[in-house]
Amino acid sequence: MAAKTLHPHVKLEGEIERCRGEGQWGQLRLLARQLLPPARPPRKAGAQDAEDYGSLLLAEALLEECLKENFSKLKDSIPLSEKNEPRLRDAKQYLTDILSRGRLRPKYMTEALLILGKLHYVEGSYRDAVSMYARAGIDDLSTRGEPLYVLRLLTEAFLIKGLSLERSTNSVASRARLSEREEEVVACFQTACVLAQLYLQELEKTLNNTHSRSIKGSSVQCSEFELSYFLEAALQSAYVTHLKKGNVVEGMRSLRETLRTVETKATQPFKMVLLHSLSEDCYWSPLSDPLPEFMSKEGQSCVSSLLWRRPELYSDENAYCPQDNVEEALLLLLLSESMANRDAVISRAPEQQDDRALSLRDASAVYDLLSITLGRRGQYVMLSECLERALKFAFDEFHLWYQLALSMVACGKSAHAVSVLRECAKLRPADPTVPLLAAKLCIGPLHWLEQGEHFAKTVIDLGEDAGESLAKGYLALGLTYSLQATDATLKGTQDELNKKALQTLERARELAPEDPQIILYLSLQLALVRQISDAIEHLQEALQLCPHDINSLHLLALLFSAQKHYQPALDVIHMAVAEYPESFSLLFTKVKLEWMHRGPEEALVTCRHMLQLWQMVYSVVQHSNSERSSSVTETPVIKKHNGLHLLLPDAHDTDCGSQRASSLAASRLEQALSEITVQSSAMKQGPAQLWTALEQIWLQAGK
Amino acid sequence: MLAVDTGLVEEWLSEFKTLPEASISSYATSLKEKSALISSLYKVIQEPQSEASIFNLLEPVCHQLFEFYRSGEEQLLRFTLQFLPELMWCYLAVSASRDLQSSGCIEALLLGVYNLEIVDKEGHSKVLSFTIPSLSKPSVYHEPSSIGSMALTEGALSQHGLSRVVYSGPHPQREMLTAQNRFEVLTFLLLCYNAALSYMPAVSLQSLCQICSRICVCGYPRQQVRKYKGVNCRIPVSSEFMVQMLTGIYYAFYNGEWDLARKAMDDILYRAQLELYPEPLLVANAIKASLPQGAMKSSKEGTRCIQVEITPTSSRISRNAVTSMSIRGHRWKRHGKKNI
Repeated sequence: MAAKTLHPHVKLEGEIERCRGEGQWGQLRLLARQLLPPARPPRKAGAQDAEDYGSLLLAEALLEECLKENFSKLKDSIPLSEKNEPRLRDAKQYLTDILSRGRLRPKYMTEALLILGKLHYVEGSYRDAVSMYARAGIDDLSTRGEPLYVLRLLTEAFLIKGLSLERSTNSVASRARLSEREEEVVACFQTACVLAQLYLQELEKTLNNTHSRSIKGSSVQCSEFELSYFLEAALQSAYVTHLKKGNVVEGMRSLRETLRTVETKATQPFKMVLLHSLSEDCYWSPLSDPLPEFMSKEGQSCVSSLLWRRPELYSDENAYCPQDNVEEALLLLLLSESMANRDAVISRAPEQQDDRALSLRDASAVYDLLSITLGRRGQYVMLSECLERALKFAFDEFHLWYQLALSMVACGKSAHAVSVLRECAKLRPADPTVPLLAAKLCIGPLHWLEQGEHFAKTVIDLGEDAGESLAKGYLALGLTYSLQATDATLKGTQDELNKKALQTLERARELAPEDPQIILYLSLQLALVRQISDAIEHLQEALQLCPHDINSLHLLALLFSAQKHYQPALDVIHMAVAEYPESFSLLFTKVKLEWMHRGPEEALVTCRHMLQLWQMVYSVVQHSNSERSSSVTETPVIKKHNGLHLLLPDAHDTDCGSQRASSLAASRLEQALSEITVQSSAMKQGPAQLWTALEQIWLQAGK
Repeated sequence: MLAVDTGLVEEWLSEFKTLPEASISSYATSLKEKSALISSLYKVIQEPQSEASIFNLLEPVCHQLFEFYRSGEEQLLRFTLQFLPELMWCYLAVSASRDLQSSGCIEALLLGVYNLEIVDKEGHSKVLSFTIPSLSKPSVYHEPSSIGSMALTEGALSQHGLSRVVYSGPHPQREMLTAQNRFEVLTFLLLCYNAALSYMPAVSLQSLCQICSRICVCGYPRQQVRKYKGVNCRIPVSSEFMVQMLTGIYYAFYNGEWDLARKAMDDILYRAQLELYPEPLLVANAIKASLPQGAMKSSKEGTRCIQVEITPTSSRISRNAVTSMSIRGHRWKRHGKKNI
């Protein structure tokens, strides 16, 4: 190693400091052994002195290596015992020897005390640990001009003092003393936290320097720096204690402060976890707490005197600062997401399975929180983009795939959604909701009837296992048949399909006699095959169960009119219009009925009313559009206007209208009606001119 | 409903009317503590049909709650807000059973609150928007350079920079609730309620969870499992309304109402599956997956208790695992070597 060169001592000293600063314990152990006899003393001091210094280093290296291997025990605060850990025993022996001899310089004696304190803590002797720190006088130590490792030692010292005090509270008798003790603990944690950040920032600087200087490079890559347990705890203890005690405000403040410090490569992975917990917290933090004044750096008074500098914070004048907790959560989640995404294990090698599972769990936790936040604000487009990024490491993971599919359905990417749902169905064939959703898309916006049929049959094949969804499976199948019948050109095929549709829907009805939706479609199918009175009978049942359903009411009115019962038809329409005053498709039917039954005058009045209504709705839409124009537009909220509660949108409803047309006098007009219903959804998006023109035609027709 | 309750409510009704202007704010602060009164008011709302005497109380109670809301005094406003879930349930249950007369005053109260909430102080329509942060802009929590290159997707390009997105509004004034606008109004009301969630007392959160569960299962086979009496018909819901319900329930989970929230979430999931609504399915699945394994019993006594642990972070993932990061780093290294 670096020992046998021209200036061995200086070089050795530097190397030792570097190892202690960067936590390279294996190397330190080797160096320390060189100091032990028969090696030369590092400075002009007695040989004994050098030997003690060597044992000090050796003790530290042994202890640290031992701790590294017992990470999980530390986390669960299970004390380590000398018996099982020979290195612990050796380290302790070295340290006690050094202290009893007392020959080292005061600086190193203090270090020995600090290391011994740590050792005591690890063994579970918390009182001894605290007394070691008292002897070392950590509150008065300075870090100015000291090498990097001193910062680390001090960080750990404060942390461990805090932890030890926290754990030995049962010895405290009085209440006042207890709260005093608690305050002391928190102060220790806060100091530790600030020191840890300072240490990490300094460390990063040194690492960068050594890297740029030496081509050989040290064995430590800065991105690979591992935080020891105590450093991690130092960063987190302050806010964890606050939050555990229920001091949400304080905890959040300290958490936010930690987050604001300029991150180093070493803290990056750690930060992800922090971000994660903060964004979770955001949800239930009382809104009453004003967000901290991000931009103003208020000097904090309580921390001890040795903090002569504070960690660097992100403080760009133009930096984005979230305005409420949802925005803050979103920002943090997006940051976490970018980290999680970057660090997720993508290789499929079997030996990396554990790593993969871990990183997947972390990442999907972030995606879940992101879904909750974005769902709350209705941002499904953005959510589906985020979830899409997750796919590269989510091979065969049902949850993430399903979430992606749902977000795609929610933002109207139907075709993509169906493909994703198909994958989901492969991953979890027993779940009836997956194929049902796909069938809904196929029947509705996509009009992929063959695919719809396939998905519906998958649900039916599940049989009893599909539970309450089985009836929906039959419903979907019936609807596909019915739509196929409408599309069919040959009369024979049409009849065949209509018959199949009716049978399937009746089966659905048997399975779920209480479902008004199924009854509605059953009666619609009956109407299509001209069994009008049966249809009316069923429809009335549906209306018993669900009195205000727009589609049922509309169909009932059309059925009455088909039987030439214009008055009841009008009554029904009036009832429906009262509940759905802004539904154009209802109003058009109303106009037609009035024209047939009451003559053009009354129809004209309704037309006028429609025009006014149209203008009103249009202006609202315009208004909201102009509000949105400057921003990313989410699929318009208004699309939900016409009741999409049904598996099948209105289009089918008016199909039936046009069938009925023959029985009503002017079939031409009915055709227009069906056009209009299609239009009424298109109208919202924009082509207003067309719409107006259509209204005009109606006015003419009315006259 | 006992005579004691009636007495308390009547006292509350008359007390506010005679209150001098100056003492309103101290009165408002003291209201929160009157738990007996609050539970009596719940009874008035919950049992409108039970007795004639109570029936007479519902109307003045609704009226006074609206007066509270209109007063502009924050504390009074929140006092009214805490009853919102229960009022919604009552309205929905009654309107589903077509007994519209008896819900008239509740409907008026809900509409009143809605019409007050959709405008700001100057009377302009309120448009609620929020900012979608962009990682390519520095923020108080990060610097773009530390993130590394971002995926160059269409979305990322179009969202370069911050963007404001409208998530609610503008909403038109409403004079009555119809089947068409019912859920638009109720969803907005629930949004307002959710914005004030952290001020809501435990009773209100409990009521929220219970009514969500009821709304979702009434009329469905699961009603028998839950043993809910009273309403037997299905209550239609919109998917946006369900998402708003989930927001409140998510908060309830971590604020002392674990069991009730769990039940409510399961029922929303059940209903969303039957309705095939993607939005609530998405959010409910996410909530379910993010729940910690064991129930948070400990948070029962002390609400607002956040469970955190010191989390080990570093390198549980071994060095040689292939990640996007490592692939990027890999290329970079080779590039660097060429330069030397």
